[in-house]
Amino acid sequence: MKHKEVVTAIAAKLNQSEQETAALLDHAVNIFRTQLSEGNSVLLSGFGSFEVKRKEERISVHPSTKVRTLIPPKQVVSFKQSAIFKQKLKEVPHAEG
Amino acid sequence: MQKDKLNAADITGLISEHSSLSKRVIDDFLKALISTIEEGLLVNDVVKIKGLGTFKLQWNEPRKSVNVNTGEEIVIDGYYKVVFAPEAELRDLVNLPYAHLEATLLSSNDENMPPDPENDFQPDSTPEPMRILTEQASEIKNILSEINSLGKKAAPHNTSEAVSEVVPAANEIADDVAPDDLVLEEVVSPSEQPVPSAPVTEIVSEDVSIAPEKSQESAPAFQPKNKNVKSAASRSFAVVMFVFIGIGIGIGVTYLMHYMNWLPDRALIFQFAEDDSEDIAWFDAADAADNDEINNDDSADELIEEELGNEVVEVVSQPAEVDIVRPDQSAAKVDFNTVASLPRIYDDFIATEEVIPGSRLARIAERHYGVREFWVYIYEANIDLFVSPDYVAPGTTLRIPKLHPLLGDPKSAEALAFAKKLHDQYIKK
Repeated sequence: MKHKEVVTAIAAKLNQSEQETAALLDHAVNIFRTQLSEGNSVLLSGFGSFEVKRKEERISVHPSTKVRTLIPPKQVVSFKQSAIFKQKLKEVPHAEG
Repeated sequence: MQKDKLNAADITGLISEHSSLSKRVIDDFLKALISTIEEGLLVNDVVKIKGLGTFKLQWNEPRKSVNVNTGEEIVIDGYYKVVFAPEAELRDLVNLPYAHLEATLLSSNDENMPPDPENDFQPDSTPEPMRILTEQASEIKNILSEINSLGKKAAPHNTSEAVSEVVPAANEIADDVAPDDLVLEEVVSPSEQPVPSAPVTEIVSEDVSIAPEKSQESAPAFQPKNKNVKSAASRSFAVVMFVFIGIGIGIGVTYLMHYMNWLPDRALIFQFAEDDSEDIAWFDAADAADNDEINNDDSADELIEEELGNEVVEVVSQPAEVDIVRPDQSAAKVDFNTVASLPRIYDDFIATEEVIPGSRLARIAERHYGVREFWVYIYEANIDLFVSPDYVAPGTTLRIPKLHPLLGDPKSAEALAFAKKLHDQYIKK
């Protein structure tokens, strides 16, 4: 689902114009980014939470060349779905593909 | 975590600050956003929001597990999971404090773990944990390289110490054994210089044949100072010492053997080869050079006279006495074998030889008869003077008999063969 589709869907739900919805979504996304870049986690109840996690540095060995590389530490964004969402997902039938 | 956890209300408040919309609107918006994403995922498996990232559904296969309480096996059903992949910009934004770090290739595995970096989103602290880390790493590398260079300097230094330790050891021994001033000077003077002291020590051990063993024994006694020396360096040095001492001993033994040849106790030293009489190697190894040089009688005589030096040769002519075997008789008519089978009595002498240390019966024979093989006749003629074919007391006067022409013909193969037969007979006794 593309960004525009999301905007359209939200606009439909809110009975707002798509422009306003788009602007609103941009605002929301910026807030998310700011908070995440500062290391704060964002929780959306019923959906999930965005966290900032630190990954420690590690030595990785290239499996074929056996080259050892030191990967520096970093911070990443991770998303954890909420329990409610998880429950909803369980009811989804799995289509083999 | 020191960081804030923002919930929907907080977000709402923040958004309303920026957008001047009422909180209720924003609240609704957020709920709509969530449900839209959910729906999008359920329908499409993928929801992408610009500036944020991508939400996907991930299917986890059912797996076996154990009920933690009862311990019985259970099966965990397969399920879908929401997976979020942040956008590139968001990734870089979040990784800002560690942005300047790069993956590096490793040569060793001594990389230490970096200290836990201060999370620098505190307004009051400066975010530079990784710069401290790299500085520390470079410092540690410098220290390591310094240690390595120190270690390398120590190794050859210790080796030179080991050599200079051996030199004073050789000094002491040289005092005791070798009264050679020149040798002492050689050892003392380069003691200051570690490099030439090694060959000097070896030369000392070569010249002094008895000393080498002593020097080798005391050299290890001076090792206590050199315990720091790497085993490889001192081991190779000891090997070199052993080699040169072995050479010195070999030379000493050779000289000793040479000396033995001239001991006054032994008069005649025969070492008979078991080869044919024609084989020149009748003499021992020391005289081999002489044998090789002798090609004809004349040169042999000259050489022999050089060797024996003071040997006095008296030529005594005695009146011939008639006997069973008369050399005067015409030999042409007499068969060799007949002559050979006759008992030989020696009354007719052509010369005498006095025995001195180093005399050789074969040489004497060659001198008088022209071939060495005929020594057997000299032996027979003087048999009462001989204890054994290879020993006679020095100072004895041997009488050189006159041989029957057939028997004593140097060019006769029969004569030579017969003499050789006698030789074998006598030697085997």
